[in-house]
Amino acid sequence: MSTHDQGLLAAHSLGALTAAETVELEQHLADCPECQLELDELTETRGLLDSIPPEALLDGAAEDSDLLLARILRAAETGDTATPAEPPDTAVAEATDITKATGKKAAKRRPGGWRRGLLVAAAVVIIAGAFGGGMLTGQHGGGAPSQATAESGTQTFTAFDPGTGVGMSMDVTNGLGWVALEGHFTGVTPGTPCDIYVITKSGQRILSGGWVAPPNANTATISVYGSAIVPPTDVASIAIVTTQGRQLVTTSV
Amino acid sequence: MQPAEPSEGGGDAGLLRTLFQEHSRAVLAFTLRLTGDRFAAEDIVQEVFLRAWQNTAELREVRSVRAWLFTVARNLFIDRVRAKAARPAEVTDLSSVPLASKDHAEGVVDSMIVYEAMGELTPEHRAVLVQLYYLGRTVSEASRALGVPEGTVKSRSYHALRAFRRTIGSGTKEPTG
Repeated sequence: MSTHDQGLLAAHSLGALTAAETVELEQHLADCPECQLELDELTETRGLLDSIPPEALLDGAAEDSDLLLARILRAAETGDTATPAEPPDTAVAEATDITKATGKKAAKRRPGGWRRGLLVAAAVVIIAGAFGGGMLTGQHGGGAPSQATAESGTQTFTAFDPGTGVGMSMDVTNGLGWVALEGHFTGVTPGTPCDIYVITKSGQRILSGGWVAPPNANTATISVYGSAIVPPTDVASIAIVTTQGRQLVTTSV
Repeated sequence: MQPAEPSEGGGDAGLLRTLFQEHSRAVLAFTLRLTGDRFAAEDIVQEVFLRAWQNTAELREVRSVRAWLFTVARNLFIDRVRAKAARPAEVTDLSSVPLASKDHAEGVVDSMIVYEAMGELTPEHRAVLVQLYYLGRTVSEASRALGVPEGTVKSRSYHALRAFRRTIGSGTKEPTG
């Protein structure tokens, strides 16, 4: 580098140069106080960016967020805001039905309505997905055989995949024609986007939830929630798969 | 990014849609990073936009809608972390104050200006900063992603930072430090 290159300085202040480019630039900076001054100012400016979350740079609507927007509009219209100003346990009244349905698990549920709220939210998403989006009625439109109620309750299934090192303990709660899932995982690589699939006896794979493994996912137990509209008696197995399609662990039901 | 102008009256679905279309990607990415869980992140996003919808009058007064949304999101996340620690009584007051907690008030004033300056960037400048700063890509990677020459990436990054600094300089009423 023989001339002053402001773009190179800016890219350097943002940490966007390769090692070779950095070496070359630093050689130039050693003999060019003018560029060094410019770089100092750019670096200081970049430091201002650090004062707020980097996500603030992003624009537009979230991807695949139609259902989320529909849920928000519905909540706004009905006043079902679930604000923390209310006691957490009243946040999502519908959730009590799920708690009751879990029988022995009810006492183990975490305090507060948030987690259960997520479960309901997940159920609403799946319901909406199953019926082509649109109105979120919260009702099962059909295929809810009464025999499912005979299986009411929660069962726990555990599995460990030595190939991936991922362990799973999955609580499956039977509902009226659907299942609620509460999974606990160990050994997932942090940052891995994962999906829960319920696989039916006829081989159908139903996407039932998803999450991105948090930074401590490989050392701590991570709890996630999901649900699927499938009669509990039709569930054959539950699989955890990365969004890249790699199966991490599976359990037969 | 032009901040939504909450001038159409409070509590209407159109305003809520506009806010969502302009800001939900940013807010969801933020809450996803905080929670590491898509369901939890969306749950907070839902509540953030509901609060925006409920507080239209307050939004009219803020310098940056996005700063307001991020602050609410962060406070809701903190509420929930604390709630998980079984200390819900301590956060009742905080949750009713959407803006940042008082102990960080000074910092928030500064970040308001930063948010505001970020909102003034052109789409081209913003796109380069997203690539280099947010995604941590190199110049050549950003060049491929954006479909522009490397020289353009560099010069846009320079002009983006200069524009950003200019806006902050003009938005700061009193010189700091």
